[in-house]
Amino acid sequence: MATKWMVFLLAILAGNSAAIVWLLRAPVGEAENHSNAETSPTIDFPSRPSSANPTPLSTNAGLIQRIRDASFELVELVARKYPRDPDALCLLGKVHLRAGNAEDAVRIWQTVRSRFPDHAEPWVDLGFYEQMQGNLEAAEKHFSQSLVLAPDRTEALEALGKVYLAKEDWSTAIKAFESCLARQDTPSLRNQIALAYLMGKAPESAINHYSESLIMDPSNREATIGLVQLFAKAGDKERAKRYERRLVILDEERRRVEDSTPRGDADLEKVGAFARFAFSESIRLTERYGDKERTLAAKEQLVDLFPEDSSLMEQLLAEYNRQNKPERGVTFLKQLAQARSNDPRIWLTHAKWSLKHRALNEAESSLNKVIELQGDTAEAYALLAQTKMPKDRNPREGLTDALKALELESSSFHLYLVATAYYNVGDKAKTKEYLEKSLLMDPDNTEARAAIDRLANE
Amino acid sequence: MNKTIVFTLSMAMGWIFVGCDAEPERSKPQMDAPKTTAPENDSRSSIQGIASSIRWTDWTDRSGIDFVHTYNGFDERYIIETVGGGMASLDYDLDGLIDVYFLNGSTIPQQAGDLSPNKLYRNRGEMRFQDVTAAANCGVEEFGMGVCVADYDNDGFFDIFVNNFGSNRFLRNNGDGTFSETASELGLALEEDLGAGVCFLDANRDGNLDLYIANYVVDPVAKNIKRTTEGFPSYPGPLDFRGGQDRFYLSQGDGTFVDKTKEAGLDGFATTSMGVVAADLDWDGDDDILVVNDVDRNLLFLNDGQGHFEECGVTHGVAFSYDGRMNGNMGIDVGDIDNDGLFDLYSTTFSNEYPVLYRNLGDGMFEDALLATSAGKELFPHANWGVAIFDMENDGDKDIFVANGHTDPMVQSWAYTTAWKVKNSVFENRGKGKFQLLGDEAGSGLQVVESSRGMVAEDFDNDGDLDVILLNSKSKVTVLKNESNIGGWLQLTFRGTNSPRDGTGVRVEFDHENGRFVDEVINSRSYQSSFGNRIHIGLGQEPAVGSLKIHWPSGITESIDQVRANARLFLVEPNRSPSQ
Repeated sequence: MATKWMVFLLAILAGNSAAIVWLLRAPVGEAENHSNAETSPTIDFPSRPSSANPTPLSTNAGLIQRIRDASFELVELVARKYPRDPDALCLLGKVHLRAGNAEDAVRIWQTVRSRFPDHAEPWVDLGFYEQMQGNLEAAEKHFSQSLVLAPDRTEALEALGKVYLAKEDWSTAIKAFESCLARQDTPSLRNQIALAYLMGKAPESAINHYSESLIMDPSNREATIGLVQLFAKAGDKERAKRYERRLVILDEERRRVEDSTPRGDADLEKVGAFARFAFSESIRLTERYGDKERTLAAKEQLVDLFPEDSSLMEQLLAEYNRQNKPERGVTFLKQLAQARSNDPRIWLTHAKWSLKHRALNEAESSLNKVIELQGDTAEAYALLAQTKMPKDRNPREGLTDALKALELESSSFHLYLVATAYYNVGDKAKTKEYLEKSLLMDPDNTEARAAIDRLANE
Repeated sequence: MNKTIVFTLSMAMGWIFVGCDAEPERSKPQMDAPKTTAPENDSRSSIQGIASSIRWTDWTDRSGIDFVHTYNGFDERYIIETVGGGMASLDYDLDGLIDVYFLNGSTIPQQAGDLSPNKLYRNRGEMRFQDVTAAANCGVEEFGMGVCVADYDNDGFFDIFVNNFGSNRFLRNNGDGTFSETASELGLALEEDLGAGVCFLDANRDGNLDLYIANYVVDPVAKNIKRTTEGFPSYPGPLDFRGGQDRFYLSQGDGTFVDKTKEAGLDGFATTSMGVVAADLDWDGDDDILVVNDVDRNLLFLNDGQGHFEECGVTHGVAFSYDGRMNGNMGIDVGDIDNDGLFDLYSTTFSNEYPVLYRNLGDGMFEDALLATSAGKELFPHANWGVAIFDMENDGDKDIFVANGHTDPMVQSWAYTTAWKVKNSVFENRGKGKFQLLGDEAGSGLQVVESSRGMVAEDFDNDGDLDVILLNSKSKVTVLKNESNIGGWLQLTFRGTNSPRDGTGVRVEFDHENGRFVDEVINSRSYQSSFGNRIHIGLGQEPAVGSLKIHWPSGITESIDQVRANARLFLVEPNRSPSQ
């Protein structure tokens, strides 16, 4: 930042108006990175690892390849855009490791480490890599150095604890975990500490930590198992049996969930996790530099790849709100719905978003599509009623749709909706009648109660 | 929906709605297992500075055994293909030489004309074997999974129960070098079950052997699921199926059995059973049952002495590994690894898991001591199957042999830390239950690279140490001759009179300079396999056993003093009441 203002002052002093304009228009992050990108040496981008099987048999092979390519493209773009950001470069290494290219991942991290010796990220990445290789001494060295550089890296401290656990150095592991505990208390951390105490032959402390874990997460299986075994070993059969019964219940619940959730394509699930990681980390970097357009584009791309993931959709919609770009949301969602024209969920999302942002024709059109695909549903008709209800549209049709929604599903809300529709066609008596019905069905419907009050005062 | 509706409705009525945005969570960086260099499946570090006297010589080509394990699922990739099969050793002709029986796979579903029978090889001495399958009439042509050998009808000859995918076979030894199939007649064919381990035990101590039949999963062919890994076709796993209900058959004493699964307290545990072992794990005079499961909790059924069982796996510490994991358990063996007079257990597991060494703490309580004993940390990358705990060099403590190999012949296409075929592993007991992995210096026998499954350890050449034969998936077998620099030894066989005639369930114990020796005649061990009717004792430099105690299942205990080393004893149960 200081550099930018110095250049700015120099430009003024030199009378370079073009430079002044450029500096004023370019965002700070981009300005810094553009200037640095030209002068600083760059990381050699390794070629993307090819898919494991050149002739894949998975029916989702095309989609898997698309998701993988999109993830790499974004991470590479971010790394090129911010070549002086060690986190962006390390992210490139992370995705290469996840895609099976450990050799280049390690090379990238080593290069970043040599260029940014005071930055913790490459040390952490190399620490995790060494840990997974079973090179415990090397992992310990890397995690320890990362903590010297960034003492607040809790995940590195926890990983260091796990290294000590693997080295069967129970007391040092406990110290590391206890330090983590001072910063954040989680069931998994408690379980790690308990395991270290258990292995270190300190059963009472192990019981305490497993118990704390269960307080935070009563369905924590690991803690439950630990307590069964610890109490059984201590000869406390009653308490061991009590936790065993709890374990049986947890297992039955788990089985029920497993039975009701058919297992999907493991490759697709794996590349999904890969993409979510690559995108979320890239987005974190674009947000760091205030690059709103790239942030939004990345979120749109992610929804395009995983349109069935409602949480990603919510995040995207929140981003449209944050950037105050509702029209772009309407356009994007419409394109998405058209590309998956047989998926009523996306048409419905488009309709809701359009309705919220007063794109009522768009909303009406999408809701008709939803009804075409799904048949009559109360939700679609209730929304459709709202698209037509405003006085400058077609309130009579809105009333018809509201009554249809009520016919399909009798609820306080639909009664309230019908009341609103009657209000918009000027029938105050019916408005009052349906508001009262709505309130009768749900005495807690505060909107209906307020509307009755307003109506009385008109 | 409500948020949008309320907003719109509010607009229509002139009211105001204020929404809120949800911030996306920042995901934590996580890393998958890396894929780097080719698997170090031969990275067995040798014992630095410590000489080992254990030597294994590859004897396969000299053995005369030409059995080749086969199966063919016609690229449908059934889970059954990955888990077969077991093998057994038995002296079927009572000539004093231990013979060997191999289970084979088959086509799936079985095609007409599929000829891939199980095979019996007769030991002709000096570890040379002859195929006698046809003459002995024991060439079963189903997909063989587990096998158990015992003299179920107390006629003095070893019979063979084969637990199949398809009809089970119960091969009754006719005493003339031939066998007759009796499973259908006895109601034990169980065509619908996918069998796994199987064991005989005298559950109610009436002198007759009862039968525990473990079952793996339900409907493995009809409900087969196509899987891919990294784009390559792969196999489904145990979680893709429902576990099978095991069965318990009580002997009626006349050579017939009756299903007593429910009455014995063994019903309602439909798990993915693999290995099964019956032994007196709580040292109370009766045999208990341990069933290890594939990605499910292990089951420990403690016997009340009357043939009624209570499941105590979780509370007794054998249900999970040390960190509470449900491992992909495969094989199981019993043996006292630290000479404390208590039976410990070793369970082999799938790749990316440690095997489990359940150390017996007394009173039937166990804890996973694999890390503390260093008895298999190096096996983490590999899938392990067969396991045998025995004293390889007769130095007075028991070592561990583990058979390795992945389930999927294509595994190296997508995994970089293991392989379909890898070397087997030997962990030498360095005293007090601390182990050390042996390397290539332990002989040519440990350099064989195969995908091993079942295994047996017997003194096939009657030279006073135990040799090993392994069944390898889709390959020829491996025969290993024990050429260790050995100490003294003792071998015991038994004939029960009130107890089961073949000695099943007999326990022996004696004190020696390193602690207390205990062992038991157990007929189901390792991975779906059966061996060890003859108890083998390594004596080190001790010239004799001071006082050898024999506990017969009938309750009779006897002592034999000053048993000299390097002898093979045949012990007959005294014909007296337990109180005498």
